[in-house]
Amino acid sequence: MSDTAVKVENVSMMFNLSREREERLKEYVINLLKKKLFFDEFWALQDISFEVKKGDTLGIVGTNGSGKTTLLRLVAGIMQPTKGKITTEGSIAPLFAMGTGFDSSLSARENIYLVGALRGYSRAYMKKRFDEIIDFAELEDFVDVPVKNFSSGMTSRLAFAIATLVQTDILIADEVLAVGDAKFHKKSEERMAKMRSNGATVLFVSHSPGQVQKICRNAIWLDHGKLVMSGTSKEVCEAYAKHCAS
Amino acid sequence: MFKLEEQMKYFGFLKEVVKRDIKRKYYQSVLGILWTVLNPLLSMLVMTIVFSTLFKRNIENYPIYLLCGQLMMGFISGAGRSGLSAILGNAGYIRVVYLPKYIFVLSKVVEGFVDLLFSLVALVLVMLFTGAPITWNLLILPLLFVLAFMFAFGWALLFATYGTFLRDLHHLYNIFSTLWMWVSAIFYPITIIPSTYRFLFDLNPALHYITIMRNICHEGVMPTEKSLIIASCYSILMLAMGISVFKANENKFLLYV
Repeated sequence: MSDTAVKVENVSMMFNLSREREERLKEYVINLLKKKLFFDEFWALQDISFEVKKGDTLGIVGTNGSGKTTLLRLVAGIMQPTKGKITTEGSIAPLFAMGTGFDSSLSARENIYLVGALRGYSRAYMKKRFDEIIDFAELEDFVDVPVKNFSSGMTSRLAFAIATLVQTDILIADEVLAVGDAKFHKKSEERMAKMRSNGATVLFVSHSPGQVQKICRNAIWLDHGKLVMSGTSKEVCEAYAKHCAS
Repeated sequence: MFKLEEQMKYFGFLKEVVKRDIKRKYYQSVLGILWTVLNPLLSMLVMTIVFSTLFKRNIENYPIYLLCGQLMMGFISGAGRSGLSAILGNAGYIRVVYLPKYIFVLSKVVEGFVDLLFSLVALVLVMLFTGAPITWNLLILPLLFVLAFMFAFGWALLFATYGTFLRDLHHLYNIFSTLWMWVSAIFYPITIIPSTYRFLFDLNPALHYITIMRNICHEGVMPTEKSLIIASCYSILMLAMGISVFKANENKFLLYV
């Protein structure tokens, strides 16, 4: 057992932008003949290295398209890096703003069981914690409403409530506080603080340097897939805010 | 790296997904799951009316002959069809959580298998009604189902992989499955095929599973050792092929969903 929770070594991630055009057989063959198939390479991340100690909170800042979410997806194990290596230790609770793993045609109740099963919890266990989740997400009146009819705030509240249900070793939070009202922000910040004090490592992505500074001790700054700066969250956030203002 | 312990964690999810899909299939239908029994019964009835006069002399107890073929073919061919959308249809999960992706394909095959088991009720009813031979050979049915399941899972993995990369397959598969059904001797006796061309039909894996099922439920005899060995070979080969193709490509799925 080392004291490092997440270790990212020289990680690069390449996407092939031409893939959209390969989906039809005819165009695939044409492209193949033209030898254009593997052209539009796009490097979303280039040679990123950093380490997060256990119990630490790392903020990741950067503009849109700088590779923040890609980096988190790699750490969560959803994607494999093109180059480099990522090592994580302990259980991971991923929380992405762009999608929550909910089946939108099912009700909140059914989604709770489904996502619970996805994370490895039995139906019986989820049943026991059910009221607690609904209570935290403030969805008492919407338990049997399909998630597709939820507002974005309601969906992210539910996602947050499920993801932080049990203590995990690594919590990955991507723009989770971008939606929801101030009251819920306060509640979720408290819950994250509690998880942290119980030893969880947090990777926190946000557009808002203010939030990062409040929640994280250390931070990194990504720009166009490259690591621009790493250090304490105060230093990084101030430099980033300056860059954005200029 | 395949750690059973780690995989077991996901079986709870598998159960929930299968439950969800079955529930969704019969959502708001009055008869619900009863349709899995009624469907093969009714289509068997239609086919019997159409074809039975044609093959009356060649086949006795045509309904059972037909049902065996239909159920087995439906399971195998359906596995490929549902495999095609197994990855695409679960994009919502694949984008946000780590999960062994074969679980989504397995859930589709299990769903088809549950359907098959329910339609056995229809088969048993018709067997009793038509006085088909009920023998100890029926005990071989579970073995046949295990073999068919292995084949269907491999087949579904194959189409889950290529269906994700090449959407045209979804349209091609319909045509292919119609052709497959017609070369699998479901409606007609295999004996009407000239013996010079029979070897071509023997290359069709589905035919072997169907023949074994007919041996057991239609003729009430023990399937030959040779047919069991051939079927086992097809099952193992298809499963191995499906797994290796799927494994080689699963990390690329995310870029295509």
